[in-house]
Amino acid sequence: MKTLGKNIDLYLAFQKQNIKTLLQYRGDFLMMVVFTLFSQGCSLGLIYIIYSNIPQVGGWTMWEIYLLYGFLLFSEGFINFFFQGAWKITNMIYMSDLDRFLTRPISVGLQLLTAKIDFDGLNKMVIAAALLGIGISKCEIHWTVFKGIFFLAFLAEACVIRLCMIWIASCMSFWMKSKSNSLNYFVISLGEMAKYPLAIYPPIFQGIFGYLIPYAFVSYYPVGYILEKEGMTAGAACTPLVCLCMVAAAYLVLKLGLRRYESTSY
Amino acid sequence: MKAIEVHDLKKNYKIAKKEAGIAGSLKHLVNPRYEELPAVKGINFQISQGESVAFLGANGAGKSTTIKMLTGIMHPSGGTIKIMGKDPFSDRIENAKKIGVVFGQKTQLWWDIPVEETFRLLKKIYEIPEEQYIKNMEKFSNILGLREFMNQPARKLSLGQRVRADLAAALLHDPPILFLDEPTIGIDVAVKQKIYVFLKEINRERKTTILLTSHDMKDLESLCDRLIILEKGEILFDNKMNRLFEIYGESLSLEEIIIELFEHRRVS
Amino acid sequence: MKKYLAYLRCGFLEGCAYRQYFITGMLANFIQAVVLFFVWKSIFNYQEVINGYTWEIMKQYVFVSFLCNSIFSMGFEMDAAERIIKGDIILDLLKPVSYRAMLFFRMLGTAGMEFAATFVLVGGIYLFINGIQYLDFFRTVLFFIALLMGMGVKFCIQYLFSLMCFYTDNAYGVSKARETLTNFFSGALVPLAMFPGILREAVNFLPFRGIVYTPCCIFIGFFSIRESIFNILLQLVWIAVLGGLGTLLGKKAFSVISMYGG
Repeated sequence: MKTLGKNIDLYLAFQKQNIKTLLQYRGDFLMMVVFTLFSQGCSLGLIYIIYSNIPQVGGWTMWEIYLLYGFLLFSEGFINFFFQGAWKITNMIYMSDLDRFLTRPISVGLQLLTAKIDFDGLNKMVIAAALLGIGISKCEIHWTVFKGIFFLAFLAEACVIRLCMIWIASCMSFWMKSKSNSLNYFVISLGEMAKYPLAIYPPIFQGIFGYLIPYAFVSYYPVGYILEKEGMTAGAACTPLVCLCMVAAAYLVLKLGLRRYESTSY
Repeated sequence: MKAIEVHDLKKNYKIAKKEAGIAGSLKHLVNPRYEELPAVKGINFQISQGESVAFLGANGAGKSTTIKMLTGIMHPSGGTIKIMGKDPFSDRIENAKKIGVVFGQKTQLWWDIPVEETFRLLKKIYEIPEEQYIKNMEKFSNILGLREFMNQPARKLSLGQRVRADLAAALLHDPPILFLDEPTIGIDVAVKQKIYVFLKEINRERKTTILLTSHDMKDLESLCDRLIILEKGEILFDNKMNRLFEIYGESLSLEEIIIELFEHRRVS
Repeated sequence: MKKYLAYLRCGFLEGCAYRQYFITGMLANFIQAVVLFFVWKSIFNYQEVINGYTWEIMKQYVFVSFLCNSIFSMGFEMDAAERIIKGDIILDLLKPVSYRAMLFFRMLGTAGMEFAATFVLVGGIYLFINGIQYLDFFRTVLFFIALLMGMGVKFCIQYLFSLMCFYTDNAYGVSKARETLTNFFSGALVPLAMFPGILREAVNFLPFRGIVYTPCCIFIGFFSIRESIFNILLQLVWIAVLGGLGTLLGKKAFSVISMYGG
């Protein structure tokens, strides 16, 4: 318990320093804000254009799709801002940063997670929050206290599941010989599919996104449940379980990865 | 209790035996064959507290591998290591508190934030009590001349400044053992002097054990009384530096003696 | 001319060496195409004809759009930005070759490899699923010309964006912006004919349509032969315009370098 407290304390200290680096890169940050607004605007705009032709896709209206999008964008921004190190694990392995981490008397996982910060994540979270806010008001949702709590819980779980996915993909570098690892990009690309309701894909994809790369639990089931679509309850109920499994898997992967790192040279 | 005890230390690397071309790659995928490359072949040595020892060896002689094993970064394939009486791998975190490391080519300072912030972070990481922190910062700043760049981010520092800050960072938590891996590469003579003075002071005052790897003869002569030479994973020489001069005569410089030693070994 | 051919070869080899990036990019494109495929499928399940498109037509559109996007997918902004930051860019600018021509031929080499790989793959799948039934000789020739022109337009646009890298550290943002912009306005994800009202008109004035929309429509048969030729000429015009813009802005960008002094 004491270590947990210490880790949180250290995390805050690291992030505080990371945020200070923003002062160094202010101009870039503003540019990023512009670029991100622009990119997201285009993506959202495309959905709008599709919907200007038809009223629904797979039974979901435009604002419902925007809710899905919001969940995905928010979790992406969350990882970028709070735990960007997860993306850079490959670099850190090959740049011997990991050696340095191993000589420090604190958890390696923590050091990996806090190694970098991407301020763009803040952007994305803000845009996503706006999207979710507007989306909720535009969709007919029967709100209860429980639903409200679930909504926030699902959002948090979405962030955790996504983080674990990137983490595991990046950690594959421990077993790969080459200096570049595109698995995390691949995982994010796959996320493109989660922007639309799973129902439109043939069953095999539903299987993959349900059991292998659990995007279904990031946005589809949670949002579907809130919107009271059919057949979502089971999926939504499993979300916390999936979340726990992913965290366990991520933890295991790091342990095994470090063990392997400590026995081979790079 | 000895600072470092190494007994029959071995390290083998698994190298994939792969034939060239696509056929070879496919074959390897199906039936991977590995060859064991021994990098460290069962070496033994002991270092007492307060000693300062230099590690010398050609690139690929097993020097870095040994250092990695001693600092707890790499698992040995065989043999035992004891750092301050304990196995470094049984509790990595405990061990980390007892050692300080300076990697010559990589810095442990955070890149974009002022140096003094790095020190504050390290204080948190190593749980250094306030008094000790202030005392050390005062002392290190004086000897190493850190004050002139304390508020600069690491990326703006010159190499000499960076290494000085790294040294301070490594010793902030008063570790009994200090590892230095090629610390003075690319550094000018004036700064090197400052570093030697600093390290000698630390060694004298706190009985900090120093383990140094370097290709620079000046480093070895200035800092260390004992020399361990590694070649092809084995120890070629392990004794006081004076002994070298006794065997080869006073007329040769350290550099010449070492060259002799390598030639000699290669011939035999 | 020979020196440019050297860059061609260089680009080709680089393409082979950076296989992994190419595959990742292609995979990302492929996934995008798959998403589109199913999204449109479910849409057309609901409504048979949308703005003159049927599912049969849309299927082909998705295929061809994927093909168009897969070529020249490896944007060179990141590369250029790295060289600018490191200062290596000076080496490029000091050589007795036109900076842009050098980039072009290198890209051509890489694209050549990408094209060969993608075309064989996608073409094969297409023929497997749809057969030769829709193909018409003259139209197919026009299609290839439009495709090549499209590549030309894409290059010009990428060049312009890469010039932005002389002004900012954030190469990733630049390249992402270029990608999103292109994706949006080129009809890669949604046929331009489906754009609502004013947007549809506006989009016709932009060069992006030449990258995906034009070749697609030619192939599918949405453009008559006359329209096809007209659109190809339009692509040429854009290449000229953007090319000219590139030269002008290039000069300005290069002068910024001397300000930095490497």
